[in-house]
Amino acid sequence: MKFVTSALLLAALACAGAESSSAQSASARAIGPVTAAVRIDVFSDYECPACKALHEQTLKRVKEAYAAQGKLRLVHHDFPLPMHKHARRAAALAAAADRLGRFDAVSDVLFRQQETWSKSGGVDDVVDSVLTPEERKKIDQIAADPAIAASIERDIQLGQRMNVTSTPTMIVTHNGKPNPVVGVVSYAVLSKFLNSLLGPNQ
Amino acid sequence: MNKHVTLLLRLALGGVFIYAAYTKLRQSWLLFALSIDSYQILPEWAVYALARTLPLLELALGILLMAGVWLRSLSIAAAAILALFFTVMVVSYVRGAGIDCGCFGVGEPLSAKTLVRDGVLLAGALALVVRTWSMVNSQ
Repeated sequence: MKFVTSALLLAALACAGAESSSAQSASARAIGPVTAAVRIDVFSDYECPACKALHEQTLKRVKEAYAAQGKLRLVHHDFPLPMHKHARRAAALAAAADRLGRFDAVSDVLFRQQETWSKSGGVDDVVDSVLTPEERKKIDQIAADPAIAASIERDIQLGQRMNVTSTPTMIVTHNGKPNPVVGVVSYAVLSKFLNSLLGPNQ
Repeated sequence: MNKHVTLLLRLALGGVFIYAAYTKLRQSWLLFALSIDSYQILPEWAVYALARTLPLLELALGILLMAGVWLRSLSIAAAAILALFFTVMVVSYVRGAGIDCGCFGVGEPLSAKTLVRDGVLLAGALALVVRTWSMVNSQ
């Protein structure tokens, strides 16, 4: 039964990977080689304080030290929770910013100023603060594209298939085995785990 | 009758501890370390130390409970460990931490269900403490 579940999860991840590589080849939402031995799928909600902590304390360092070095593949998935009023809008703006090549800047500012916009609802203003006037004009139009909402919905459905119930959740896959890591974990402990998966010749 | 209840309690608790140890020992100890780390209570060195030793402690406790040796001391040890787990889990749940329970390997979210289950185990361990000590006193 566990084998079947793992196989289904892998198939779902493979489909998601194929999708992102074809539709978003220049996407900053997925970093690192598709053929990497280790893959981390992060299910995150821009309005969740624990997601902010994981992003700022751990994932930024994982991105620099592992994904950018080609040691693993790090994939961001949107998983806006229904209890967070502005999370879906934030996810749509981040996905739209990805098309403008500004995913990292928008993603960072959304987490950095989470407390502000989650209270005021001024998520658009926060995003605009890191964009050029030309980008500001385009982002609303892109965010309104039904394909953006559809991609968020696909991420949510993927997460549900992978039994994601809370954010942040990372699925660390190695040798076909998905390992869920739920909540905020420190970079030190996560990197030790990743090093054990990658082996001495990483 | 009392003896049968005591036997049932120690076999059930022993079995749960052995199963808990098995689920942790069959996976990478670092995966369990990540579960412990997500509670955000312990420093890094303590996370590693606990991840290395807790499954072995649970295994030893389970085997000894099933064997029925040093029952008075072991029932207190079992109740103390379960009370500690229960307290940490309740605090994390109230704090709203969306994390894994880490009780039986990975992939089980900390929820009201896991709290009830741990509460029942704690009640069982406390009942075993009362029974083993009252049996000694009545002899």
